[in-house]
Amino acid sequence: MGLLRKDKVKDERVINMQNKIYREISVLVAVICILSILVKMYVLGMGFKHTFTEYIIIFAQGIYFLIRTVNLGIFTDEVEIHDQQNKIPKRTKILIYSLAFGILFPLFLGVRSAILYGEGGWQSVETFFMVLAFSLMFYIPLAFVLLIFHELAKTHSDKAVEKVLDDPEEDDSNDEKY
Amino acid sequence: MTKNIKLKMARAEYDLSQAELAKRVGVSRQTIGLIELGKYNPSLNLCIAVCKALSKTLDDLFWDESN
Repeated sequence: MGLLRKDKVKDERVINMQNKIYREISVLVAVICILSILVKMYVLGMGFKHTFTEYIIIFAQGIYFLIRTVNLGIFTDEVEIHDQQNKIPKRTKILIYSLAFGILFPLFLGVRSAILYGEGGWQSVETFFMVLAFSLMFYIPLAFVLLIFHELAKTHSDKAVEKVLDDPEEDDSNDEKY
Repeated sequence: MTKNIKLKMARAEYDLSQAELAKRVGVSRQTIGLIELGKYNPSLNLCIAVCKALSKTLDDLFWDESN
């Protein structure tokens, strides 16, 4: 039966092109989900529960990608290549960006609350500082949580790399030099 | 795939670690390690880049003499 017979010859160029297409499909699915969320929430006025499926698809893609890259040790390679090509190491960048977000977003929330809920004058200033203080207490630790998460992922990925590079025929399993 | 001992020996000639060679070629240490262990099939471009980094030819480093 020709329909069920698997092709024996696998052309690497064809496989590479197919993999590229699968990659584009995953980006397309994420874009469609984001558009769906935007249309449902802002055009059709639907609530969050109507976009649950789209959020699951987007987060499931990201989480699956993260788990697979960590388990295959590719996460380590990504960090290594990044650090080779950039002056600021990835770990430092994550800390800087997440701290910047942890400060800027509370500032935005403080200003927004002061404008929406403030009654003018000192009351608005008080609202600003109160919202800022509580937001900073939440978002600054989040920056460190992200860094810890990155370190855990890197450690797990490093172990996966060592396992893959472990050569049972060599005495010194860590064959970094020669 | 069999191990690539020739690559390892060429790297030793230049006293390079896997990480140092990886940096010169523009790949990760794991990739160089996997090529040496015969667990990864590099593209022609990568083979050429490795040869240039070690001043060797493709035959010197990647020709499979067992065939």
